[in-house]
Parts: sequence; C-alpha cells; structure tokens
Amino acid sequence: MSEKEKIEFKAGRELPFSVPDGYFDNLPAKIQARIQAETSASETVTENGGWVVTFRSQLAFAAGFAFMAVIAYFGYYLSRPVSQHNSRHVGTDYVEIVSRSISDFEDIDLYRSIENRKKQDTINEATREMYHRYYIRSNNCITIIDEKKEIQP
Amino acid sequence: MNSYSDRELLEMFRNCETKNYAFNLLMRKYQERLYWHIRKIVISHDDTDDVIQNTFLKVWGGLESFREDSQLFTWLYRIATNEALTFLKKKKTKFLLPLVDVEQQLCKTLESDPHIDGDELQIKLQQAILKLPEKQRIVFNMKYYDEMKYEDMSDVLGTSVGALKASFHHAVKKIEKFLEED
Repeated sequence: MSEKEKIEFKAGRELPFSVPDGYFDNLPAKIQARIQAETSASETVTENGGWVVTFRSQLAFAAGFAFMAVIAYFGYYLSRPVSQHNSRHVGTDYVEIVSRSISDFEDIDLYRSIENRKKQDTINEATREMYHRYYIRSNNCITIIDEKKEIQP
Repeated sequence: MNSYSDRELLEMFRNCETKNYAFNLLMRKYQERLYWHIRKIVISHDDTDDVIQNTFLKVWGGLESFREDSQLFTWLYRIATNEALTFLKKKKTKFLLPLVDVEQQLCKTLESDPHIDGDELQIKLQQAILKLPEKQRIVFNMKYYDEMKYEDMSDVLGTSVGALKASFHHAVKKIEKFLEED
C-alpha cells in the first residue's frame, strides 16, 4: 500500500468543512450585485472628474510637497540673520579702517582713503551727493562710515 | 443549465447582450470547485467567501481578454490561488505575524470555525496539511482532493511537472509521518 493510499485509508478524501444552507444558490447574485455596484461607482467617478480620482495619489503627493516647501520657506525667512542697519542700506554701507592706532593716525591718510574709495557702489554718481559721511574717532582707531540716505524715486 | 461549454460561455460573455447571463452561468459552473480550492487554503468559511468574491470580480475584469491559450478552469484556478495567497499575506502583514503564526491561526480556525464538521481523523489530516510549506500544501490539496493532472497543476502554479511530483511525494511522506505519530 502506497503512502497516499495509507492516508486515504486512514482519513478518507472527505473534507471536514461545510457551508451555510443555500450558500451556493445565493453566491452568484451576491457577486453580481458587487460587480454592478463597482461598475456604477466607476462610471460615476468617470462622469464626475475621473482624472481627479485617477491622479489622486499624485495630487496628494504634490500638495504635500508644496506645503513642505512653503513651511521651509517661512522657516528660512523667519530665522535668517537680520542686519542691524536698515536693509535698504546694506548694499552700500561702508566701513573702512583707516588706522589701527590713534597715535599713528594722520589726516592725510583719511583724505587718501576718502579719495581712493574702494567701494563698489551701485548707486550712480548723482546720488552720491546725498550721502551722510561720518568719521568716527574711537579709542584706538579711526573709521569712516558712509551711510546712504533713503532715496525717493 | 451547466451544459454550455467553456467556449460557448466565452462567446456569450463577449456579446454585450448576453454578458451578464454568461457570467452567471460561468459562476454557477465553477463556484463550488473554486470555493473548495480556496477553502483548503484559507480554512475559514468567511475568509473563503471574501476571497471567492474577489476572485470572480477579477475574472469579470479579465475574462474579455482571456486568450484561450490555457483552459478556462486552470486560468480560474490560477486567479483563485493567487487571491487566496494574497489574502494570507495581507493577514500576516496586518497582524504582523510570522509565517508559523499564520499556520497556528489556521489550525485554531480548524477548531473554532462553526462550519467545520469532520471527524477526528479528517481534522487531523487538515492539521498535518497545515504543517506543510505553502506550495507543498497547495500541491497536495490539488492532487489528493481535486485529483488534478500534473500538467494542469503545472499550468495553474507555473511549476514544472517534475517539481510538482517531487513536491507531492515529500508532502505525502510528511503527512503520513504526522498521522503515524499518534
């Protein structure tokens, strides 16, 4: 007797399972109802902007990405270093150390410094007349500070 | 009612006017074979009910493009097997269960499902089958209960006839050993 026959002899080939009464009579109707429900649902979706549903996951991803970009931008905007001066002046604020030591300072150095300005000013020559110029003499150095007036258009 | 051949059913299905009727006939022709095939894999009646409904929904969606390269019933078996295995995988993922625990759960279902009514030896055989690796289990069920030809099984499972024979041989040996233990 083969092993398969031994199993068959011991346990038979009957399955120990049963189904509720009338199960197989009702199953096709149940499945066809599901098919109809799914078909009409997909038709409704197609009529009412099917592309939105089709690309729903992509749209959700894009919206999430845009949201994160906005958050990142505001985070950067709020945490960026802010100049102590008026931001409109930052581009042309100008500080030059003329002399490290007050004892070595001579007026001629200051005049030379003013004459040979290294500043790359983006404001045209006409507006330069509007600068206030400050010369600061502190304990151990002399500085020149140019500060630009606000220019009205 | 079930006197239509598969070819006739397919022709009727491809005709819009008789599509629903043909599908109804097809379900009535194959529902029991597919139900029992799925039931042997997922054990519980309620789970089988879910899986067979999903199977026929897939069949509805794919039948129009069925190319008749294989027999209709092997194509249906293939869909049913895939649906049942997918169901078990989902169950495993959903409850974060390792494979062994899925088998234990199926064994518990054997004891608790209200639609189990076999004798002790039949239940013991099912327990032995549940101890087999998934593929061997399906091969054993298809050969032992459904008496399917190896060529058809090969078509359903995409495995060579030789491998299926070896698989069945190993399964029988393991089951026989399990039954002899008590």
